[in-house]
Amino acid sequence: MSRALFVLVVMLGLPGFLPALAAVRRSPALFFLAPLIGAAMAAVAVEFELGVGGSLLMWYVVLSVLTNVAVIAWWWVVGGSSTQPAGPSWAWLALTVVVVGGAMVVPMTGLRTLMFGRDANSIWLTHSLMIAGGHQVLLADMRNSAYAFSNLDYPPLASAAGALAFARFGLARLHLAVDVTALLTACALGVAGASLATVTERGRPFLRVAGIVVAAAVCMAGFSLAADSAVDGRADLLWSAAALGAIICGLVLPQSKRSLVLAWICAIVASLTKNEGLTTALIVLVLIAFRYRPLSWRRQLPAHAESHARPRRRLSPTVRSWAERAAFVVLPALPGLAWLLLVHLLGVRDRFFGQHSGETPGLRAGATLNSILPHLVIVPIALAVLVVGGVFFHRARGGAGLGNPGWLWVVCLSYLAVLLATYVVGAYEIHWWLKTSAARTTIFPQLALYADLGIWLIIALDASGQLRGGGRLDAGGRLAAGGLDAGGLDAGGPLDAAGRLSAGEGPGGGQPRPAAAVKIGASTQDEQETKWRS
Amino acid sequence: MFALCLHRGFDITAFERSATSVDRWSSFNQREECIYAAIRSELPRGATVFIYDRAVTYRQELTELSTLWAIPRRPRTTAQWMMTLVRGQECVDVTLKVHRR
Repeated sequence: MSRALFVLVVMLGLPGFLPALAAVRRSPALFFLAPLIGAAMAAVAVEFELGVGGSLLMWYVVLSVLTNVAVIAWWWVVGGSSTQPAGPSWAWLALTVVVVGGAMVVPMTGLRTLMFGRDANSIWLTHSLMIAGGHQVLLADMRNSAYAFSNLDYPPLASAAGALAFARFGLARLHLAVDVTALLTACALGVAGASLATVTERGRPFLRVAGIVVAAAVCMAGFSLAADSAVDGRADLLWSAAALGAIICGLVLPQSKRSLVLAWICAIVASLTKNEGLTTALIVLVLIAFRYRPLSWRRQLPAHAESHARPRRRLSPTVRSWAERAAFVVLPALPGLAWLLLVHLLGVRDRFFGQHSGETPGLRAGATLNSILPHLVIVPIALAVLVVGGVFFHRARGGAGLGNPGWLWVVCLSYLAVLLATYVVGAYEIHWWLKTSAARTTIFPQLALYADLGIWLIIALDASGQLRGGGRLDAGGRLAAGGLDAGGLDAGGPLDAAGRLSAGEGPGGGQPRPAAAVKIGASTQDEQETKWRS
Repeated sequence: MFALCLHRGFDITAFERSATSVDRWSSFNQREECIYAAIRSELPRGATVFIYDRAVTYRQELTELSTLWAIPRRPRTTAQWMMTLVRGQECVDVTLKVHRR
């Protein structure tokens, strides 16, 4: 790593370290998360630079100080009484960081070739230069029709990080913008990978090592799927990895405050990186809201017989729970939506929509399917694994407190539906558009499905270990819940609006949790994080 | 599936690090840096410039590299300067051509 890149890591990671520590405590994700939080703060600083005035550096310093003061104040008031678990031992934490981070070293050596992707030039570098110029330059250039080719509506996270590099090192080395984007990409993959590794956090040593190796493999797969675009300054893998982190933390890992906050941060990063990232983050945030505040149509029956006389029977969900769901979506989406509003107020329009291409929707849809399906060969394999996993290991998965796999599939399918619709109603000539973008717009669903394969692999490894160790299969050939429980996987049940555990979860309602696995009467979410064993 | 994907990743990295790729990108960066410097030496700071070229990529490249120095303008009548890239050897395989309207 060059000295300049190291300084940039410190510039981004230092202001983000305390917020990251407050969010995830002692977690392997901490080291990857801090620079991402710094980059998100830089992106928000660009929003202030554009909307209010001043320079990126000024707002970055202001936001960094304010955020850290707020975190210290929060820690002072609330943090001391927090009951969050301590996290893994330092040895496991170090092993996870080294293996997951080390897995990305080889693909990152591509940076030494000094590649500069076309979009990296025409979009991200151009935006970085505009941002580095301060409010007046940024505002004038955003309104300049000569820059229309540069997709000025794209969110500013990657370009803000590049502009910070220019603010510190000047404009002599333009490739620094590429380096810092690739570095943030590795950090986002690291957060997703480190979060994936925590699935086995409290399992046996063999299983924990397997979990770390699978997490590292998913990170490497991310670089493989993105190919050159991972290290040539394009931001597609960055938002995809951040969105994957949001899925793993918010829709896969057992419910906890730590996972929720981490999922929100990842969603913020994805939404501030690219338009597709914002769309996907919104989908993920809505699903997280419904996972953490599930719909419950059961009538709340009166506790006492005399209550039968009352005509009033309240039906859930209540207004309060809907307000909570809305807050779960809107608050983390706020930075991304603020950028959308800003560019709308400035009159900046994206070039993807608006004009009619003259091609029929049928032709465009056919061309789109022909172009993106070859990138989705993972789908039938992941589907087969889903079916096999659902038949043989769904109790083991539920017993481990992991989210219903349907959540991840809903995100992937929703994204693909939005992608297809975008290509069909978009303005560009479809064949050129697909040729230049299909490989990158399909990175996210591929990466998410590889992660899903990894999760099933971990579950299967644990379940097979339990079988060898004396577990039993039930009449349906499924591993009995006790088998995985004995493995000691961490778990927490889904919480309903009142903070109680609900019987099932998932887009389809999910499966009832085995009685032995449900911790009844837990009063706080933190308590759900405590280890349970049958 | 994982193994295939990872194997492909190693192949990609090996290609990126190959001499052919390094030479190609080195030449590209040299060209970009040369054009970037030429714009700053041949145009006064803050000049309004109309960038014309038949190749869209060249037009975009010049617009990108003039950011923070000159102000790209459209239409032509609103600019004081004209700028394009022509075949040449000053910047690898092209030369920046600038003239006042």
